[in-house]
Amino acid sequence: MARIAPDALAALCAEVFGLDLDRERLEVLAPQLEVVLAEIKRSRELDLAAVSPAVVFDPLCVYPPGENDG
Amino acid sequence: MTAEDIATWPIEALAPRLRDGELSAATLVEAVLERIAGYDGDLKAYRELSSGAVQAARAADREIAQGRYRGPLHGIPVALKDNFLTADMPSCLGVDLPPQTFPRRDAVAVRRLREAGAIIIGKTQMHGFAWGIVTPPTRNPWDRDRVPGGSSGGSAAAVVAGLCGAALGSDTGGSVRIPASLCGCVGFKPTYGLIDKDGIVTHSWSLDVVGPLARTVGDAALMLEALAGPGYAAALGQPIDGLRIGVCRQHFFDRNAPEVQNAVETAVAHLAGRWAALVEVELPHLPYGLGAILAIELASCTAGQAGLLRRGMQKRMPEDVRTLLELGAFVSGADYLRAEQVRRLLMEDFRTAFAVADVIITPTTPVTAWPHGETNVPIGDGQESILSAAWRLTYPFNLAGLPAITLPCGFDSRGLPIGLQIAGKPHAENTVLSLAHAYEEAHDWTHRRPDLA
Repeated sequence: MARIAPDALAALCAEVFGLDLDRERLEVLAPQLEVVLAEIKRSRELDLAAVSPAVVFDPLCVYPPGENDG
Repeated sequence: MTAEDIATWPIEALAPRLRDGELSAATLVEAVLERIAGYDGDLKAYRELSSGAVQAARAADREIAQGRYRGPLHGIPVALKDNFLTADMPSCLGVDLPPQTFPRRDAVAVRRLREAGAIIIGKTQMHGFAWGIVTPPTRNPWDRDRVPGGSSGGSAAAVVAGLCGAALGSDTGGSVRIPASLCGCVGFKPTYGLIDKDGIVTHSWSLDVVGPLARTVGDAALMLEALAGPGYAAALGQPIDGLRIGVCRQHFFDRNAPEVQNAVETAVAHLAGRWAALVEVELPHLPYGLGAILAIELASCTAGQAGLLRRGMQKRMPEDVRTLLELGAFVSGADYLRAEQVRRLLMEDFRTAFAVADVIITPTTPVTAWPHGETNVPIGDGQESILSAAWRLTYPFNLAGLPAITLPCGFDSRGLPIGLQIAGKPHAENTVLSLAHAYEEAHDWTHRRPDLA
């Protein structure tokens, strides 16, 4: 984030994240985001190719029990 | 019995007296309201009281007199964390938003409590949007200069101070168990999905759990029955001889305040000595757990409150709440899904552990209640940030969706309560409750009351 110009970053936040964050607000968020991202990024060192996410798509989730018995 | 006495009694003692007509619900509710008037100006556990509580209590008395007794919660005053939607009171979630921001209807859990005959006393203070561990402006009943914990801090303070018979909270990373531990009551986070959470303003879809806070394990079981169905209170007497207690030294016992460590080790030794066998277990992927829950919780909460963010309403919130709501936008989709993959690995770790252990026991929080305004706490030879320390021992069980209870296991040299956490595999509520009940019966920690004078 430190390498992106503040105005460009604000525009990115508005366009991509839907958040109105001016330069001052970004300066407040930056150090805390750095701490949070440091923890989140730790999982990037793991080989997770063979691991399915814990939350998966269930095509039956909108059907009450018994309604779609095939 | 005086009005002061009955307001502090557990449900287990009140229920038979209400059922048999020795005590009226109106008398009980008026006693609690009198106690709130006397103490809550200082404790600040409540945000709003229900104007219909006395009327509801009188209706309960008429039903009981007519032989229409609904069960142990009939006539019991119960408090609700302010993220439970209610038809008769606004929900403000601990932030300064217009009172009409959230719908006026009863959450499913609230409806079930009313159907069980409980009297809703009011809405308790919570940390804004369930994003915190302090719950301003509520104070800890054991020491007003210290925090009650959060985010269900108002509910915990109300239970311990006798300002309700029991309370509801929500637990996403520890928000029932942390304040219950710091305030010295029982707090139960059941298996994810056991209690219908429809009508709680969503914080994180795959983490939020409804949980009761109560004065005893038996009371928590009675609340659970009203919320999830029968079978929990009866299980309290089930045999626990031969249970295998799992202890994970890594993460849970490697960085705690000495008095917390000693109290929990003593409790574990007591349980292992009397009833159970001790087993060492490992959870190899725990080091990645914090990053996983941060990604999931931040992204979920930001997505869930997209409407508020679109209207810029986060600018009206306290700085800590606003920051967390905005940070969630920066969690990438790829990192979110990686977090769900890590979550599955941690669930597999727990599954392996539960193949050799029936429960896992840990401290609930690594420290006791800290002073208002502190951002760091001394642990061992160093300092740790409150944000890091407070939920370190509770969030792993949220990630894996496991049932976990906290109950008092002692007090430190400042007279502050220490919490013991007992967790089980999915839907093993009865095992967790039985062991907690056995420990509670052998000690008097839950009988102690703070001096509120």
